[in-house]
Amino acid sequence: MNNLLSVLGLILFVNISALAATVNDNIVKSTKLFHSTAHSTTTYHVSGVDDGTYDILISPNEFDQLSHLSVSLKESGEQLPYTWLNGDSYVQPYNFKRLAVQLPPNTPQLTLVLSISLNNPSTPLPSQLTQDDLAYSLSFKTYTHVVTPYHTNEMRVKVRAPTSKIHRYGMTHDDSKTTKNGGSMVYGPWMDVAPYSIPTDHIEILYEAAGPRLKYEVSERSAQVSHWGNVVSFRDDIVVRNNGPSLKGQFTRLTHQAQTFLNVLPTNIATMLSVRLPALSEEVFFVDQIGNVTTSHYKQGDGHSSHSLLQLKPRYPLMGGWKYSFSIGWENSLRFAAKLARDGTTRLSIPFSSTPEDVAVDRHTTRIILPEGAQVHSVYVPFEVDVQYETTTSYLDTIGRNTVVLSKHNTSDAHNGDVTIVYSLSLFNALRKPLAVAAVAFALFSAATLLRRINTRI
Amino acid sequence: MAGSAANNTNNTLKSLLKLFTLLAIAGAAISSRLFSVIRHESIIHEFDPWFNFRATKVLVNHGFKHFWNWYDNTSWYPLGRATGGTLYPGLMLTSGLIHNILHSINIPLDIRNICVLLAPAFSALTAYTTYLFTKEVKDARAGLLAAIFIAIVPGYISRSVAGSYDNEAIAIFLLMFTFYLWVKSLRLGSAFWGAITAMSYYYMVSAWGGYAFIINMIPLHAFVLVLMGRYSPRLYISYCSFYTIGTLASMQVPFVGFNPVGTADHMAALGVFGLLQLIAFSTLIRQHLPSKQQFDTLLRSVLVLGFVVGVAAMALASHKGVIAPWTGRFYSLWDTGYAKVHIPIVASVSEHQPTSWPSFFFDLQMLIYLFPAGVFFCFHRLSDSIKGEASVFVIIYAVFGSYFASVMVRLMLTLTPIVCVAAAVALSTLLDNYIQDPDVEGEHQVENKETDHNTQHNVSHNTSQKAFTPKNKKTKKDTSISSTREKVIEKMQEKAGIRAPDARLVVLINVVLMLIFFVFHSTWVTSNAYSSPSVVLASKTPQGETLYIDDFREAYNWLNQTTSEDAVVGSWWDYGYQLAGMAGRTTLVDNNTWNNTHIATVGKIMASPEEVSYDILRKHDVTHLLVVFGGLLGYSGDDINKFLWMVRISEGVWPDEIHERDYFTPRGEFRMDEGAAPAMKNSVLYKMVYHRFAELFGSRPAVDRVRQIQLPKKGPQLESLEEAFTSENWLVRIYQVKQPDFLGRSFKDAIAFEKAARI
Amino acid sequence: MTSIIGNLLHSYNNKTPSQYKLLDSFLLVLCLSAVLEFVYALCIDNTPYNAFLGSFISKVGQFILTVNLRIQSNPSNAHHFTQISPERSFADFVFASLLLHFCAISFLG
Repeated sequence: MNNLLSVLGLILFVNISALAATVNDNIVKSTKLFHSTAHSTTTYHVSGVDDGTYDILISPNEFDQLSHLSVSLKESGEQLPYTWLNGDSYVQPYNFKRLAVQLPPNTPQLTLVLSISLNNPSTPLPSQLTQDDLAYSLSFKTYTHVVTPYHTNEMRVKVRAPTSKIHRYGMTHDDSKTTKNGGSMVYGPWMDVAPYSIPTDHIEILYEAAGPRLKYEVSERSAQVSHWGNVVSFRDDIVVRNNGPSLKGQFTRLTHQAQTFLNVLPTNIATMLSVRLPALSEEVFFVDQIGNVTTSHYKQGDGHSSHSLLQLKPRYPLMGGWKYSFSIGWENSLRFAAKLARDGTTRLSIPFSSTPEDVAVDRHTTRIILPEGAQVHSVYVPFEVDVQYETTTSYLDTIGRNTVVLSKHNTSDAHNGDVTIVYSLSLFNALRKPLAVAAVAFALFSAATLLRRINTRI
Repeated sequence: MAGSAANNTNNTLKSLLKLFTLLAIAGAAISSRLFSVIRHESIIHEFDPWFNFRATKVLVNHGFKHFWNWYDNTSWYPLGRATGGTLYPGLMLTSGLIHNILHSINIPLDIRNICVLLAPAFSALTAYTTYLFTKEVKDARAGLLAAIFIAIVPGYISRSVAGSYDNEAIAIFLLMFTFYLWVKSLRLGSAFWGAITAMSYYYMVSAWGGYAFIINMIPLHAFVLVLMGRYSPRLYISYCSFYTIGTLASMQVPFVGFNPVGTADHMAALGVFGLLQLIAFSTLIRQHLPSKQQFDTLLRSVLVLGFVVGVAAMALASHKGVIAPWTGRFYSLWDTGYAKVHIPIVASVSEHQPTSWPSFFFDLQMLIYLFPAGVFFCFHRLSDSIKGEASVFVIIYAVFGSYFASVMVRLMLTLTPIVCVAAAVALSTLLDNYIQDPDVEGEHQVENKETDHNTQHNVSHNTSQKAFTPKNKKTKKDTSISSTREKVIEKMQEKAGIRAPDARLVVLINVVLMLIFFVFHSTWVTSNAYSSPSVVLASKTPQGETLYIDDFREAYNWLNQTTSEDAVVGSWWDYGYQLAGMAGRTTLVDNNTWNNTHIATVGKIMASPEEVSYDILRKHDVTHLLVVFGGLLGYSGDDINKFLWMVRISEGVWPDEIHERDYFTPRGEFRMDEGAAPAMKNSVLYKMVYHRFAELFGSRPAVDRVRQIQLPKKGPQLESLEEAFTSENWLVRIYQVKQPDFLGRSFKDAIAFEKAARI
Repeated sequence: MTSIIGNLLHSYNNKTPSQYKLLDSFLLVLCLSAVLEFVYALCIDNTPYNAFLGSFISKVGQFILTVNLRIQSNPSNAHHFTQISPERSFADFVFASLLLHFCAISFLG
């Protein structure tokens, strides 16, 4: 079977890439596993590039779990543009997705770094746990090779688990080239790998989890910019679910209190969630549908530290499979978020999300509500998102506010970067609200005066 | 003319001062009700408000039509409740209207905040209305005093703090407003104002069941006026236009329906209406009859005939059941022991208990002893041809209000406004006498030649100063004293007797001190007794930090987030509205208490042994049972303390199965510890409450902190229920009802088998 | 007794201005139709009840309002109504009647 596939790959290679002289000298793929996410960096040492593009294959599994992807040059750190190719002109074995990276001109030899972030790369085992079970495991499966359309001289695959308690880490058939050191495993080196060769052998790692496996089912942010108040007000509506093994039987407070007292809480319980907010955030709140959640702590970061820490304690401990929906909000001074350019435009930077580390987000939406009458010139987001525009009507608006809606499927803390919007706001539009209010107040006043003067007596 | 111009400016100044005083009063009224928002958060309080809030959300989210025809099948499962037709919609429509108006001018205020702040906003209006009402009774000075009193009096604040989103929040305003309009329309004899009174009454009917108070007070007032020989065409016009339009309008409220023409509570109004017709007709005839003797003969024969026919018709109607008899709640107003015997569900509510004496002082402070004085001064004012009628009204209201307030704690609310009015009348009469003296005024004016002001101006000048005094009292007490003293010294130089400067000083200082203490007392009571949302409990740690006990919301939120949407939660009825409002789950019974049998069913579930309860639970599709247990925390309002009411109510429906006697020990004690009665120990409630509680204490003896008892080492064993969730402080415990065993074994056997298998 | 009633009618005919007689005849019509309707409801059928009540009360109400107008505009009662001119009383009458009939129509559904 293995050989057959290699043969098939060889035929394809002969057919499609016969002319390409590109060769991978060395490929190292290191994956860092967490509970809900994984970050993987693949370094390609490439030589003999002739046509200015380099194709990367992404496995269908990884493509489904993919949240963030970037390709850069190792030496300069420069980000390279890329496009997804649909499989029409190529027969993609096993539904691999193909990525064409635009290389800088005249660089026959270079080192590319592909960074990807994955959501929910591992599955929990067992699928159900009682409250008394203290630990659970996660199982991670991946290919032993990096599949590429080019010939590869040497490749290695490295995986690092969050704990050193690894129950199983071997490959399905052959374990001769596997080394393990604590929580890190290295597979390979594999020499002279043919293009498109897809091994049937898999790496399967079963590691013990050190904490809960959390995901945000819904994560919606709205950021409202106010020039009069000189603030940006954030509000995040979140539904978090403990995505670990679901609770078998019922929850007993007695057991939970005993476990808390003895400090032996199961790893599958989430009692606290830490969110990093920008430094100097003010007016912080944590509410759910029925009001304030009185059990949160807020550590205000000063001017020196880059962030403040908001520690959220849900109303009840999140057992496996349970969800909790809540909202948090805060305000930042516009001073830090917006800069006035010389041509009168405003350059606004808003963090796309504030997802905590190791939380997978199914879908994240960010609504940036600009001041009333502001005209958007450009929107820059450092990763692929859907951009839409709508109008929001808020306090005492007359024409509504332009709103930029950015949404993306599968996100994680890799997307906590800033979104930059350049917009302009004319003086008339800035004064629109006070003018409107003054006009209405004046109209009311004159109406009242008129009414007073008219004698309604019969 | 210079005089008239000066007079004009003074009037403007006067009305400006009044406006500012009233605005300051409104500010005081609103801000003193915000303790709970500042200390806790903007949250709906207590129990009933949660239903009102939920209904308002239905109105706002689904529109008026849906709200009107709303059939709620998530309450009173499996019966459901035709909610749209069984509530007083005034409150929800008010906040829905405010919400829509604000949204139409692009102020997207959250409906929750509107609901939370509705009561304080309306309390400001109440203060203004009380001012208007008292102005009708005495004058603007008394009006301002009354407005201050009603703004901060604890008796009213108790039902109108921010978050207490209940019918009373707007009803007290409407009560006073209707009374004010009534007195005004009576004074003017205007059909227009009568019709406006009827509209205000209609609003009141749509907002609160207490409208019956209005529809009995106004006829009574009219009747007393007739008896006093003060019948006038004004009375006829204002009363009849109010009654006809008001009755027709009030029947538009679905929950009231045909009651205004069918029930005994409304018949007094009809009777007075008929009486006024007769009187009016006889007055007409009197104009056309030359001799008094002829008229008397006619009148006598007509009256006798009318009385006979009327009584016969009423008797016939009552007999045939056309006119419904008085309701049980009404009887309990006259006989305080009635409810305990006949309708335990009414008696089980703490606010239906008779009022204790201290609570009068607690809620009204100094007003309670100014109140009789005010009523006395109202008797003095009876001879006043214009405002005497309003005084009669105050007296009647005072008498009946006092009676009702002493019978039921919650009716303290209806007494409070009139206490404020009467106290303001008393105090302002006192101040009138001690600050201003008509005789001295004249002398002073003769002596004072430097101005050419005419008398009218001088009087108005003084009035404006007095109108200012009450405000001064509240805000700048010291300056008030000093300015008063100056004035007193300046004006009263060599006078003796009760109006001597020293006598005045003593009285005024006393009054000022009383007012200051009143403000302090009111604020203290408001902040300590009436500002807790009761959903969240706050306590202080020894270090002085505030500790929130948020178990109710924890449990409700858990239900909302982790149970399936069609879960049916059984609990005692107190928690029904909160369950529906916060957890959003179907409930068996709630605070509406319209179906006694259903409540008795829940009582039976709680009071019976597991085998009996389990069948009832399965029959009602109950998936979860919720109990409240304060034993760990020392929270005394828990289900064990309500247990006897559950037993009593279910005994009323199943006298053969439930016996209150069984839950007492042979020596007649109601015990929870080792020596509890067998029926008690076997009851589902007891088992749920104490399930595994003893284990929490490890090797130490388990103590129930509410009842201060030691519990047996081995706790009760549950078979057909399993613990699903217990809140952090064990305040709320939720149990899941097990599915029937798949092998058809009894739960006892199944548990025994599993235990054996584990070993 | 008959002589009393005779006196009454005589005095009424002589003393009452013709506008008031017009009003009184309107009152009489209202009164009679209300009585008729009531008797009908009592003896034969009163369903639909809200329709009966609506029309009956609107008749009674109209009766009352007309009486109000008659009392207020009567110069012999002027000392009772210092603030209400006859024009004002007519305006009141129109306003209250409109309100009454609006309620009645809405009640009829």
